[in-house]
Amino acid sequence: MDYPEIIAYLNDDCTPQEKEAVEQWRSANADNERMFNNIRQVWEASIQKVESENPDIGQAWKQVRSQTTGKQIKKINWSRRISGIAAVLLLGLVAYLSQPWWIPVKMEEVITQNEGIPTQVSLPDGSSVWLNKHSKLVFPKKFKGRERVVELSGEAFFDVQRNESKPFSIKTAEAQVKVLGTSFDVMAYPDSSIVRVQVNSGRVALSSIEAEQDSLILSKGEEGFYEKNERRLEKANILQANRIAWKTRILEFNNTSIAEAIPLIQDIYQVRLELANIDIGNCRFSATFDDEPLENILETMSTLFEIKTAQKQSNSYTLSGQGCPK
Amino acid sequence: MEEPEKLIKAIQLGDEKAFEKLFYEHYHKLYRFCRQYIFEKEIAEELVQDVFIYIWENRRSLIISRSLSAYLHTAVKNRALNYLKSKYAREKPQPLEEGLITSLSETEESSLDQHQLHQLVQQGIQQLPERCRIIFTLSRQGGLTYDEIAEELSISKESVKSQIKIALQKLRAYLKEYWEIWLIFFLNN
Repeated sequence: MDYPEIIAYLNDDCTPQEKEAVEQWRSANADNERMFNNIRQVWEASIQKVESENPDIGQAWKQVRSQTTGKQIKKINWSRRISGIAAVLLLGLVAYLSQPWWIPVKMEEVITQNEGIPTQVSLPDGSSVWLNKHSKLVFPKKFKGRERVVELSGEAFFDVQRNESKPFSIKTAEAQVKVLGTSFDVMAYPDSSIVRVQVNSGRVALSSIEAEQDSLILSKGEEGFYEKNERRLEKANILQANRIAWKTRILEFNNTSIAEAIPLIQDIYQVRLELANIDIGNCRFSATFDDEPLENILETMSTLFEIKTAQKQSNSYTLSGQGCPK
Repeated sequence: MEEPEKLIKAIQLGDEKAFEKLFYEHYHKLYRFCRQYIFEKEIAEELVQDVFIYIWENRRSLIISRSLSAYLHTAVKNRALNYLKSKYAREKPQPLEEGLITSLSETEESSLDQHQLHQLVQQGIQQLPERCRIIFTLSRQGGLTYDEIAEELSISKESVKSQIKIALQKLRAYLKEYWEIWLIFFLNN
């Protein structure tokens, strides 16, 4: 008996003969019956209960209003229409004269070194960017034209103001990311062979600089790569937790060993953690820390694995104890 | 004139309050309807919002021949299916894994209560490959038949069948794995 027959049976979408066949198979032995029940349980549990879902309607209305009734639209007065057109033409001329093509738009540049906390940058359209270490962001003092374009080298988390008529795009040396309004992380360090994008909310399109039409659409919770050498776009199968912890300060451990967790904790809390006994690194735990003080994380590990923590200096701790077998 | 017709007339004349009323009256209902097709909450919200934006932008040329509610539901459904169709086409096919049906042991079944099981399965659905999840959601949540799914996504009925099978296999494997992690965790402590 295979899944399609069992599902057809569960859906009550089969002939009497097929139904009979499944029932015979079920009663043939206890293992079959148990398997059938297990599949039925999964099948039944796979319906989402959406009746109780009430998304924030005020927030939703704000989104819609900003693109409909909240939009600043000048009402055209018919009697003034002609002079209006003349004024637009004149304005166009003035704009053309005052902004000749050979004078570039003024650009701003933010460069980070080895700072412990992300550097926040506010863009002229109200969007926010948090720059990770050793990164560079270049953007105009004012977004002109039909697109909002910034340039990035390194890693940054973007929280983009939605504006359907003026898409936002991030250019890196090899790849580009296009969005309407959303938040996501872009990693494009020059010495890495990939450009990586992880989406926190909304949808974004990732493509190479040359072939914008061949884009990879990424939704919330998804991660995609552009492989520079092979010029390949790919979606990551497994989402790596804690990738954007440098910005969110949310650490998620899921059966993670202490040895794996330590570099992350050190990076975010700017501390050093040393193990007196290497076996402590083998201990595995699952927990989520949402921007909690370091003491809470250490205390959790202490309670779980009978670890003693001793503070050596202001930013250095030693963990000691039996540890766990490999 | 009927109440909904009045509302539409007002919107067509550019009445902003009427548009806001329409939004507040229908948003939640349409969102839950959209979730029959769309697994991701945020995308469901965006799609429903897009429908309202479309209505406002095209208010002058709007023709609603059937009931307002039917119009809105159809608009949401079309948008959701269009989204899924393009998303499905963009997605790379996953290699088919031929796995045997494995059974969980008795302890595992009995120690998960309904609520836990439901949560775990939902997490499992989240981890499914995109194509698989689209089809599975349309079948389970949307109640579409295999033929309807095949037609909407322009694919064969056989691929619908095999994706549903993969989905179930993966969900059961996910539950099994989850259970083993728990065991290891407790044994370690």
